[in-house]
Amino acid sequence: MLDTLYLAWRYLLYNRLKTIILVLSVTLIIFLPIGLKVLVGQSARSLTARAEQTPLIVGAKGSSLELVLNALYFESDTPSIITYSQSQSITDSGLALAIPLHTRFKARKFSIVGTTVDYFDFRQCEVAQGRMMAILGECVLGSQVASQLTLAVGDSLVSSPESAFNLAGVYPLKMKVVGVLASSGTPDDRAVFVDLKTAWVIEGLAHGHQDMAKVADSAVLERKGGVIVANASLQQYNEITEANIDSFHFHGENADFPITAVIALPHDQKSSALLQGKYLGKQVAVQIALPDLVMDGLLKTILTVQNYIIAGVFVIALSTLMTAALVFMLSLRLRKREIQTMHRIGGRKQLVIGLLGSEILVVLLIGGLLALAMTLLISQWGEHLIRLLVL
Amino acid sequence: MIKIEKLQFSYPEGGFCLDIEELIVERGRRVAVIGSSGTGKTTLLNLISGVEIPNAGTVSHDGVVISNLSDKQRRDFRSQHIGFVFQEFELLEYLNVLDNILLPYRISTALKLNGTVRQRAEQLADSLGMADKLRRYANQLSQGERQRVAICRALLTEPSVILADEPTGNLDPENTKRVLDIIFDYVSESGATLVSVTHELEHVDRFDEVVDFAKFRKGVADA
Repeated sequence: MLDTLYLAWRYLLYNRLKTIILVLSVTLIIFLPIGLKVLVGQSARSLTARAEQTPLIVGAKGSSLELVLNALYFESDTPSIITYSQSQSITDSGLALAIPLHTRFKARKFSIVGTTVDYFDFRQCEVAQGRMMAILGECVLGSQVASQLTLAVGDSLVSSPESAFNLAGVYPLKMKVVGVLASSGTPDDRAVFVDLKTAWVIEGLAHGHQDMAKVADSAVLERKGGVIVANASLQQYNEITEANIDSFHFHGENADFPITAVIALPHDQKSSALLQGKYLGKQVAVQIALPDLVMDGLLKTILTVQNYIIAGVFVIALSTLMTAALVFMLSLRLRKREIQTMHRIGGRKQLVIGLLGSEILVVLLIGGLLALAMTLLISQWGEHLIRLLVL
Repeated sequence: MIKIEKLQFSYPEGGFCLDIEELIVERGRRVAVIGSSGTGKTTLLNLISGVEIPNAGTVSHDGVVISNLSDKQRRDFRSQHIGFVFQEFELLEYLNVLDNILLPYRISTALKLNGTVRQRAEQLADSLGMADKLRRYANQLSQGERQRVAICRALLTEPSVILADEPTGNLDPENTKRVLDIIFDYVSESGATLVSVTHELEHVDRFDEVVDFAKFRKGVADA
């Protein structure tokens, strides 16, 4: 048996190209349906777990999937904005606790999430280093952000400008890192958290600059009573420090400022139903989404796609197996002389079957092991893949 | 002693008919079977080795009638007692020289591969000038070297009968002499019997006996 396996192994090694093609075919045939099942299973768990923990999400009308994905994972396209007044009206209704979210900006590829401290209580986030943000310009990093950007408490992080070529666009803000969250294995690990007002500063709705009363005359365009209009030489601050924090001020009402979504945590089932009812009217510009229902819809689509792919793989597998059988049959014809020689010098009767069987076994074994390794890799990196593919 | 009596053989698909009344090859004798190509000389070697079974008559080795043995016994008999040398060498392209020499031990149920056999294979290769080419593949060898490897494979089991099917048919004169020397040296030293099919008459004087194959052959019409 070992000798037959050895001969089969030598044959496969000598005919490397043929062997590699056969092994890869077998690997794909085994891996595609199993890997897909594992991936879909993982995505189902990953997508539903966070959705089930989040009762209601309020956001602009449009794609509820985009709204939910952005509010839960901070990674899909930013949905249309709503005003902070929507969050205030939920709070004022007394039906739910409202947690506003602002996810329009990024800092070195990681989303900046402007929110309130209620968010951390709701998600049960724990600070591993430092403290929670307390004043304007401070940020708290998710664990992966800190490790990937090698940042710690005391360092600073600059928000990415919206467009490098748009001079009138949002300018970057240098934020001070005051805390790092403990790893939670959730999208919170990959977010930079700031106070909602800091997000508005990045948006350009608040700013700080030199004291107008102390600027040189050359920088002043017009003085009318208490109003001083300065030119562009007036120094604007792109970092909020103890020295300049008092110069930061908002232009406009908070209620009109933008947010991307509101997580609503109803006090009870009745409050939840009443709150949902408030958003049913067609004239209302906002929508309320139930994340678990939205994610269920997404999963159903994924499962349908999965079934189509598995059906396709089955057909490909069948044709590949038939081709492989043909290859072995043709190789049997090509090896007729070899078989005759073995027969003439006393080779055992079952030798040919043994050789072919061993060759098939080795190909299946290597293909199977490769498929297993790839499936293990998928199960390890599946979540990362899901983020790349789905979010 | 190889004894063929009243042997008749033809393939089901026809072509030719062998009819041998009696052919006796004493142990240790060196017999050349001459005749033109395609006349059934290889079939005679197959009948002697039990690869083919006669339609009538018997082939016996030291009194053992080959056709009375089971298929497994005939295979074991071949692997233990017969050394085949082929015109086309019949080396396996995917095995290196050493593995080709050891092949009978890997494919036969009657032979067991162990360290002693490996050592003997290396010594044999060394004696035939192939010691430094044990890891090479058949396509990396010259014709003469390939035939020497094939001879090593045939001699490794120390067979009592060497059946050579035009062993020098693809070799130049220098290699032809070298290969024949190797085979004759082994036969002389071991006392083995040699039956060699050939149509190269310049070397037949080295054999004890020359058998003209034409007398064993009948056309289909004669059969």
